[in-house]
Amino acid sequence: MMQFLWRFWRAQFTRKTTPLFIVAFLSFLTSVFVQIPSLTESYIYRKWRESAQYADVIVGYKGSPLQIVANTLFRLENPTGNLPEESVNYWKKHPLVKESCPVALGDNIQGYPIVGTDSNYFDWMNISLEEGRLPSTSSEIVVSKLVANRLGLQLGDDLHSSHGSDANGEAHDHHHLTLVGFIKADRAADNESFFVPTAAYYDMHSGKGNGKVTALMLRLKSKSALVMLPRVFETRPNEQGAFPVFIFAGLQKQWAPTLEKMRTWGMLVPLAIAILFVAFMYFLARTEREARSFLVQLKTPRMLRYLSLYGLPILFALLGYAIHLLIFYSVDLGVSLWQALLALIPIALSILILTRIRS
Amino acid sequence: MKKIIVTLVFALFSLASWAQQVVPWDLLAVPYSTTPDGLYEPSFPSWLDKYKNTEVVIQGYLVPVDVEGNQYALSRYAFSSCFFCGNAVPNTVVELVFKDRPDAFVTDQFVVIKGTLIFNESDPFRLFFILQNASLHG
Repeated sequence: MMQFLWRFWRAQFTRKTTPLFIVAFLSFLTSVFVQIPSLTESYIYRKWRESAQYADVIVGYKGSPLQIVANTLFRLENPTGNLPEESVNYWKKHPLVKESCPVALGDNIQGYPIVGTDSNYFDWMNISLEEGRLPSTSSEIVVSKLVANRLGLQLGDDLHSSHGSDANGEAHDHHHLTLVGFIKADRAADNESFFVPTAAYYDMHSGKGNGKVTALMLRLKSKSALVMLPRVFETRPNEQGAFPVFIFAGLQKQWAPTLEKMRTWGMLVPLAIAILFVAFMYFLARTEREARSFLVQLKTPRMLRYLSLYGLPILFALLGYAIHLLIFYSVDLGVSLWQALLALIPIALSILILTRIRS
Repeated sequence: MKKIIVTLVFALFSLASWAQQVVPWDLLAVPYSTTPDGLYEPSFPSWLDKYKNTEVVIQGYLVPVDVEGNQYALSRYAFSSCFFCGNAVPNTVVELVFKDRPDAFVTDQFVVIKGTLIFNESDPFRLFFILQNASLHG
């Protein structure tokens, strides 16, 4: 039976190579276009939505809140400046603050930023230890295996940092850092950074700027505290509060009408392609009429007849669908289950229609 | 006949105004003091007593305070002019506790919310007024 099927399909494939690939392509297009509205949405929102989960407020030196968030969480843009020790202590002790986490930036190792922070950071950002241990003294440093492999580093290696956020800055030769652990982070930005305790930053700069950090991330005792804090920031001359939730909210407000339109109209394109796909499958199946009556005369079982006639186009349709899944997963675009299932509907529909074909 | 209809219409209107009290923001602008460690302490004047724990209607702009948990506050001023221009003081925002988890709202959406008005006299980490059992109204 398998042999029969195989020979039938081989003949069908040589006759209909192009149409079969068109089937795969159409099914691929349908599933891609179904995802486009939500893809756009996540492209616009993802980073800011993500940033709002990690910290309620990020305190930085006076400047743009957007810049503070981009710099502290994603190491994009430059820092707005340094927070003096007094500010750090004020916010750490503020009664609305539950937990805090310092972030010191400014140095790098071969272009990869060094983040000076404390154990809270590893907790908040879901960074786990893969090998060795987390840095505890000012001469210890950790990095992801990814970067270690790229730079050819091993545990116990001696490292030197250089100043500024590109690799050609002045090197701090006097301060040695020992690689004591490999980490694994959820976020790409953390996988591309070195981590040291905040104290290491002061040692690298020979005690200059002791107690200063680039930014302080805060988690508040309640979400309501968020709307009480802007008032407090007004009385603090050197500090800027960046509220990821509000940045996200502003962005959402700006984009909501566009996305709303996209969601309604964006469904029309995949719908049109899906109709085209189903029609094409039907057309392809109709061209098998003679083969069908031949098989009927041969008295082949129904299932086998169905499989040999339409199995190959269905397989190609699934192939197109699978390629879309593969591409989306490998570039980590985030496919929602619901939409992945939605994209299967035209294929299911055509399978249903094909079973209904009589002579 | 005409008279009866007029009375009925009036009765209906008065009933409607009886059912919920629309609370203007001016009433909610209660005086407050700041404690030495930076917390706010509201005081609730006696003329507000009749609204305490009653069902009220408040109109305002939605401000999200949590992205994932769908938590919102209701603000007297629109978000863009509310928080970073200096107008915003703690007594221009009301905390919303929705009866049912709401669908995603859009920031600054102007809404009319019905709920039970709670005076928060003890918890310094929450806002002065909390609208319990909140739901969209009208």
